[in-house]
Amino acid sequence: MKIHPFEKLFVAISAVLLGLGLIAIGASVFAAGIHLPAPHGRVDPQTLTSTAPFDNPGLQQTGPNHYDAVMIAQVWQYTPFPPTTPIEVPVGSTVTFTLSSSDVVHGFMIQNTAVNAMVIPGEITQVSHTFDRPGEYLIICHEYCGLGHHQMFGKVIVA
Amino acid sequence: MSSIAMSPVRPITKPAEEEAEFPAAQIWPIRWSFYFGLIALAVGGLVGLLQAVERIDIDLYGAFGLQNYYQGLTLHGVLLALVFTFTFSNGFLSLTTMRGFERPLASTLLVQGMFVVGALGVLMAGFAMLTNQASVLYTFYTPLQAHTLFYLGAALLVVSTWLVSLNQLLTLRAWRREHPGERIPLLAFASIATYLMWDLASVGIAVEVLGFLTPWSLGLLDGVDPQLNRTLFWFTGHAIVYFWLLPAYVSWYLMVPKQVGGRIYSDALTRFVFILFLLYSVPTGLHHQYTDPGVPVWLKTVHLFTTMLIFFPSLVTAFSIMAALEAAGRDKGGRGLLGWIPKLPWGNPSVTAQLLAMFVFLFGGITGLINASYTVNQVVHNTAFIPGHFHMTVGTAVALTIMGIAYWLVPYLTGHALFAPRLALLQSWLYAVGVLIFARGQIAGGLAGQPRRTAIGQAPYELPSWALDNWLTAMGGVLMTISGALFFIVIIGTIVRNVPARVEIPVAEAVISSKESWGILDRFGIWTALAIGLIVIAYAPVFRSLLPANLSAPGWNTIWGPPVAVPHGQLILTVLAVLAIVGIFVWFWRLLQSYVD
Repeated sequence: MKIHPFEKLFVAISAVLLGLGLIAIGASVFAAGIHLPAPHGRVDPQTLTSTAPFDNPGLQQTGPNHYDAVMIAQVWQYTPFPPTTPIEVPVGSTVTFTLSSSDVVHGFMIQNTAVNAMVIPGEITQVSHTFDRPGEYLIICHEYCGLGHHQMFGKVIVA
Repeated sequence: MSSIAMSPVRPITKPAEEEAEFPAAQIWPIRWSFYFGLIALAVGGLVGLLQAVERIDIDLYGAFGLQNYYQGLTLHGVLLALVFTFTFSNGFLSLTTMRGFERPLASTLLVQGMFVVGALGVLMAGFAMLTNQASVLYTFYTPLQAHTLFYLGAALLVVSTWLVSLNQLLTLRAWRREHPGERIPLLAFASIATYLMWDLASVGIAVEVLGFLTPWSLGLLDGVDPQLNRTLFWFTGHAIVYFWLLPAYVSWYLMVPKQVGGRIYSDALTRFVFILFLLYSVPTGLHHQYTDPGVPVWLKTVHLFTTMLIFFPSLVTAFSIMAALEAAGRDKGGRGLLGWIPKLPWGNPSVTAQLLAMFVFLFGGITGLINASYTVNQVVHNTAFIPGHFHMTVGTAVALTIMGIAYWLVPYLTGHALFAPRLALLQSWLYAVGVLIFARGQIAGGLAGQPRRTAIGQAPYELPSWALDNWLTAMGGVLMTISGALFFIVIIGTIVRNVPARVEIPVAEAVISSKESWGILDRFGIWTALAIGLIVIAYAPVFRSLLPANLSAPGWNTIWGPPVAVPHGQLILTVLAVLAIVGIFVWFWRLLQSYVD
């Protein structure tokens, strides 16, 4: 087996690059504490509206600066928060969003935050975010969900 | 830095060997499979233009007889990402297998079956899509429910790829009998390894379509488990990227060096890279599901690390191909750090298209690293950043390479000289410039929060700050479409205008030949077994966490609007079905007979 010195060199460089990449990402995962959506239980999409907590969706204060927002993603809005009914919280609030879908797959992305999750029928999606800056944040459905997909959005108003 | 010059490379002085003539009965399915793919490219590409200009509020869907943006988007994705790529690979890698072994394929019926089954599948799925009964995009996430014909069509298209793989393996067996103890020719090795990888990868989509979606669309299953279906899709869905890419790599490693007057750098390293793709392509799929609620986080982390491993063979490829190009450029008198670049044959459209495809792929690869990175993915997932990324990978690294290959392949298949080579050169440059402008628009838009797969022009939340990005996307899309039109002028001109020319398949030799590489690299059995082992390790806990399935989601099949009524729709369907059944029966009967004889 003959290996040219250049070949050895560029295989080594590739291996080092790969190692550095792994270390960087490993550090960001374990040190920076980034949380990805994790399993929070399963539901039956056909009986979703009579299953807790989705039988009583809405915004609830659960502590000082803590809120729970329970929403149903369905064609083509986030019930009970259509664009005309924004979620309103004070600056510094941590909001835990709990969602599921009663029909097809939807997306849940809040602009200018790291909130980015899928809402899949049969699964419960839960994500949290602390809103430190005042303003109006767009919630956008970023998964194709039929004819009115581009009309599916909502708002968080932080004042 | 001129010491980088690779002295072992010398111009090949030996006269070109007389190429073996391959049987016409095996060449026509290859030619028609390729033409079929080009038709898909034309239709799918044109729909892409509609999407691009929708962003600047020009709605052309009605003018083209389409119901809406999402029907168009489904056609665009399915025709380009599945039909164009699969039918090209089926034809091209069947041909490279023959050329590699310098013998015909083991089975003429299998190669003909590849074309017939694939074409039939496309017609079936095409009917469902054009009648607005399958606007489910090319990822067909459940519980969006397409017409059964769409699922069966997709299944047949996948079956056509399996027929290619089977034929390759039968040809390998026959060749080994004829050449005991010899090393597998590198071109055949790379072609077979690509399809072996895909055989393993396609298991996910096959189980999803045949086990769940088809019976569900027929009403035999009441519900599906969308999370399980997504996971099965992405089992195949990341490796599919390498099924698109590896045929381009076959050209970059084994053909472009010859076309630029050089040689492949090293036989062993090339084999090693293809084996790494066989091993690592599949156990990485969860990095498309970082934001899925139903998948345990520790498994996402495992797949993050395996995903990083798959960059290794691509990094090595970047170096390897660059070394082959540099050596060829220096051989032609290129001096200095970059002086070898202008010495490459930029006047040859086949070479120029592929060199530009490689250049754009640098950005495609880097943005891919961003997507795969667990943490940064939270910012870009499902935004316009993603299509920005993959139009530089499959949309350019693969598509522009295929166009470059077409500039010798169509002359080879027809025996006609290439029509208007200068137009072909212009086409390549226009495409590369167009896609870079397009991707700049999409990537910036994505970083500014613009969702993907969305009719942005009609969205009530459209932000004024996206305007520049939308204009760049539209302009880039228009340039790519003009480039596509030039491509078809060149190809149709070549086919129609009969100027005889003898064109050969370019195959490069290796500087460090197979005599100096390990024989164990050729043991496909060992590598495939290892790959299966890795897949089991990476995926067994995933499926364990998802089973038993939660089959509770009913289907939604008019959520994208009502079906289009077709005059004599039932008649067309019945004729299609009868043709399909008779065709498959006759073909299968002849296949059986050929083994009895």
